[in-house]
Amino acid sequence: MEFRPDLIIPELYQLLLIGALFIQGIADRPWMPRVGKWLSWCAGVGILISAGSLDLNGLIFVGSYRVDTLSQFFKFAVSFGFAVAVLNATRQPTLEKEKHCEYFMFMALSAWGLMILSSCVELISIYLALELASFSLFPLVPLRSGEKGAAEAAVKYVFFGAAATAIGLFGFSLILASQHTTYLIDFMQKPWAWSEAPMAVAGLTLFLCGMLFKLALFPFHFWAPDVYEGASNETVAYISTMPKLGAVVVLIRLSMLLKPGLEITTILALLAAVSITYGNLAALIQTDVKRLLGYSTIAHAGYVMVGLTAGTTEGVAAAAFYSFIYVIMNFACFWVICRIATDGRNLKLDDLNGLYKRAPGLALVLAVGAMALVGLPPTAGFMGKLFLLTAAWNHSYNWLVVIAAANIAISIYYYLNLVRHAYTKEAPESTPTAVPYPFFSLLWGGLLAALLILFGILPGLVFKALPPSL
Amino acid sequence: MEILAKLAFALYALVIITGAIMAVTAKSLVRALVGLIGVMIGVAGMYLLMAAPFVAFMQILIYVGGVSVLIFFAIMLTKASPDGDESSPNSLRSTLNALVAMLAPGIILSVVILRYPPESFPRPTDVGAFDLGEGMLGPYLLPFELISIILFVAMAGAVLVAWRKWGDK
Repeated sequence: MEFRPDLIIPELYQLLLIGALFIQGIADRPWMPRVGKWLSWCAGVGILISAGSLDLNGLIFVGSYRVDTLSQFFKFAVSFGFAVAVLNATRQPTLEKEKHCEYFMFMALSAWGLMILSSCVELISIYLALELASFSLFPLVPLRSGEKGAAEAAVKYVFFGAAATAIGLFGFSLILASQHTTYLIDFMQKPWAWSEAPMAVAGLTLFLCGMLFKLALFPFHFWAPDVYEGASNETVAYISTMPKLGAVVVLIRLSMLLKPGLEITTILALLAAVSITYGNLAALIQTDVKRLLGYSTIAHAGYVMVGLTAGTTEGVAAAAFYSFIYVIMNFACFWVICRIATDGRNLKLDDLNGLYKRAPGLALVLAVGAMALVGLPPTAGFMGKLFLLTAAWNHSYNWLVVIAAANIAISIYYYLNLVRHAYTKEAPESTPTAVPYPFFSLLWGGLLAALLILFGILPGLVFKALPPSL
Repeated sequence: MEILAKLAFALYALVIITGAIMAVTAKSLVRALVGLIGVMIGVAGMYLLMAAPFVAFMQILIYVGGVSVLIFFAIMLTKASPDGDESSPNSLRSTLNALVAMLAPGIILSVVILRYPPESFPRPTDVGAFDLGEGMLGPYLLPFELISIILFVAMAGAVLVAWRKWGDK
């Protein structure tokens, strides 16, 4: 089988960025232009490159690396998210100037890992690519200077992450021992029911524990709120969205095996239901905005699982669409948070009071982002949830769809609470009257909000890029 | 031969379990490290039983020879004292919790594996360095390369976290 470098142009470009960041990082004196300046432009070019390679198709690395519509769609989503994350973090107040290059290098490495992950169709490559994506995030968390909680968050993240990794690897060994292959394509011919291959089922369950940890699905969610609270706003914007893409793409690849009725699928559906309910109920009482969004991540992981348990192409397409939309809406909310927290502190809900007067543009972006997270029309969040639930109805477990729908009603309270604080409460006298923000920050935030509404009205724009049949 | 192999298995398992208990319960970090080395040697023995001598020697060379020395250096450099916060005795409750957490997966998995033994070869086939090389540069080329990048990330990340500013004394 011949190696075709033209198939992996987005990955090669990302590697080029990583190399450039590495060289600038080890330079003995600060180089011009500053890293935040050139990198946001270059990451923007990356979006175009991955958009241009959406139609590629092929199989390389001896069949362990599949370039297809699904992988290219997720690579596009990753490069989009990476560009927004870079743009979001260029003026990070809590990051020391000397560490900017390295900060972005690890972020780029993580995005690169996610890109590779979306093409892997071999279990150990999947595992390693996912580890690359999450290892690169470990050093980012403690980089928040002047914050004691950051070290605690980093230690929790690393240790829980390492334990999840070990469990996943143990599960991998059981799968290998009972199925004698690691290629997903060979897995299709093997039995995955408990009565036929109990060891493989046990192994896959353990392996999925590692994946679900990255997705922060209940009961592997416990690290998320603490880590989100300790890490800096900009880092959380990345951590809470991008690794989810990776976990979703792996679950999509594995969903070929997970037909409804299998024990693993039932377990996953059960976890999804608990995750949605728990995440929403816990978010109701939060006052810290980042913690609130942390619990909402747990709920959203559950929503994506609803589509995946359906086991149909519609369900998978809905899950892919939803995870892409989730990237946009989460970044839109974090965009506003990062702009308001000019000194990098953790925002309380009360800090949003009177935002409509201080920064009307940002308040609008926040309102659109929050409405998308709830799933109100005409935002893309509504379309995403609609597709998920309709795809799962009668194909998956109907009780799960009912629970998910009921939870949307619960989640309205705390998401719109953000909007309520921003619009109906007046700021106390002591706060500065206006948030100083440059024109560009409003422009990019407005762009994210506009995309949310655009994809809500015309979801076909995204679905066209999705595979017709997986 | 069958009986000898079973005896060897029992011996290695005993070494592993003793080492593991020692690593977890020892008060002094150095003793815990000795327990860990015992575990690693036992695991190397298991590899030999599976007819993978190359992997077994690498296990001894890298883990027993390299990694444990590194851990030993880390213990020396961080001046970990045996009477720190962690040295206070555990409560009965947390000991019980730990036991349950350890036994639950162990019992489930052993029941599964004993009741439904996976298909396996009656006698292990030799896996030499040649086969490993074929695998790593053949079907497992991509993971083989990815590991090197993960190692880079781990090292660079450690440097970044421990790094002070230029000229900061």
